[in-house]
Amino acid sequence: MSTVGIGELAENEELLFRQVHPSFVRDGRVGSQAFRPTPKDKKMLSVAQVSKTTAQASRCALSAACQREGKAASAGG
Amino acid sequence: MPLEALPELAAYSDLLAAVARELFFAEKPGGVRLPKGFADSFHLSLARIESGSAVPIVERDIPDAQLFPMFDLFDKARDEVAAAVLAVAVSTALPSWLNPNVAARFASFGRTLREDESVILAPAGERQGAEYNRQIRRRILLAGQGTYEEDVDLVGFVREADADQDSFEIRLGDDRRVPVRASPPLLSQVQRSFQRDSPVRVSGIGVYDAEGNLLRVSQASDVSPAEEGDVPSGRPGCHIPVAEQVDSLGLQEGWLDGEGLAFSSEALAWSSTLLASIVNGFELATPHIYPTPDGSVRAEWSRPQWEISAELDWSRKLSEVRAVRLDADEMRERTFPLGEPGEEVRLGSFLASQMRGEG
Repeated sequence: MSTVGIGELAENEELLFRQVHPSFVRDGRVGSQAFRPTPKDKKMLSVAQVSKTTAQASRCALSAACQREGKAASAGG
Repeated sequence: MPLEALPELAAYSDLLAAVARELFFAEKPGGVRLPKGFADSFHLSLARIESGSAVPIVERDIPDAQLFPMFDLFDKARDEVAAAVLAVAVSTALPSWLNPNVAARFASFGRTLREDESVILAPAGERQGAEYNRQIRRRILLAGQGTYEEDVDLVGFVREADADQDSFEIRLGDDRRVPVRASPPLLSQVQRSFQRDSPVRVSGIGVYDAEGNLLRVSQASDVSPAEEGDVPSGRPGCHIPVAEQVDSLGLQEGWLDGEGLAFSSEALAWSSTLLASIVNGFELATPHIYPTPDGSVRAEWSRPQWEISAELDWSRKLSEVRAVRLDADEMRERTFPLGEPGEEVRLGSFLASQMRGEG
């Protein structure tokens, strides 16, 4: 069974979210570089499981700007 | 030898005559006129076609040497043209006689060549010699006149027909608009298609810039209604031109979450020129182009069951190409040291072969 980070995938068919740098998307096509770990990743590609989060929350977890927007929205409202 | 190739012999003859004229004026700087009978002293004729392969034997009708003492300039012109073709192949300096007038003769010579065809300019009695092909022709024309011409066959929709100017615009499948000059009889078909908003097929002489962009059709030879199944012209692949994609890679140091090398303007210019010339020269689909964290420019092509990539490393003048089969354990890899002569052409040939699915 495949492992991701500290957890295990319940099923191999589960979809995963992957945060991609805008430079790796061209004319609607995602380049293969987006799925190649960098040295910082230590050979473990960062993804999020569809069963445990949403696309928006997954993006927000890695985006400081998104988190600031979220806090501002909470404070305002 | 196909009949269609015969005009190439006439074009070659015109080319040699033009180069001989330039050589005459170069040798006689004060001369303002050619000697009487100069042009008439040069005739080439097709002596025979050798069996076994399409090798036309071209003979020169030698005039009276005393009447035409300059006639050996034509022999020299033949050697100069062959030397120029060889010089272009290895990217060395071009001759001084290659002015726009002579370049126009090169435009006629080789126009019918397909991408995999060439003319061997072999000396008398030999089969080996300078190889003149579409790539060489393009480079010579670009050096001589800044543009090059090739036959085009376009399908698209008519836009902005102007009967007074004998011209119209055709919109291609990728939204490019290309100006076309056409004679009045052809413009009547253009008007009909314009009114019905129905696609047309245009053949004629296309004029391209150094990047391989089609600038215009200088003269349409035919305009006809497109047939069922005709697909509007336009390069397949990414809709964003190569140069525009590469220009967008001006990323700063640390662009990938603190990692990622910056791209210098020299690296981007080199990558853009190289990719555009290969894509246009080998008529490849426009690749999708991405940065890599280690500072290379990566071009990717998708075709059924295969993903093909070429990484261009400006600092090492290197390209690594990989073709990976998606439904089987198969990968083809090649490295091209682009600082060495001929490697750019080998890179283009390899990519083209992978696009065609050849091993």
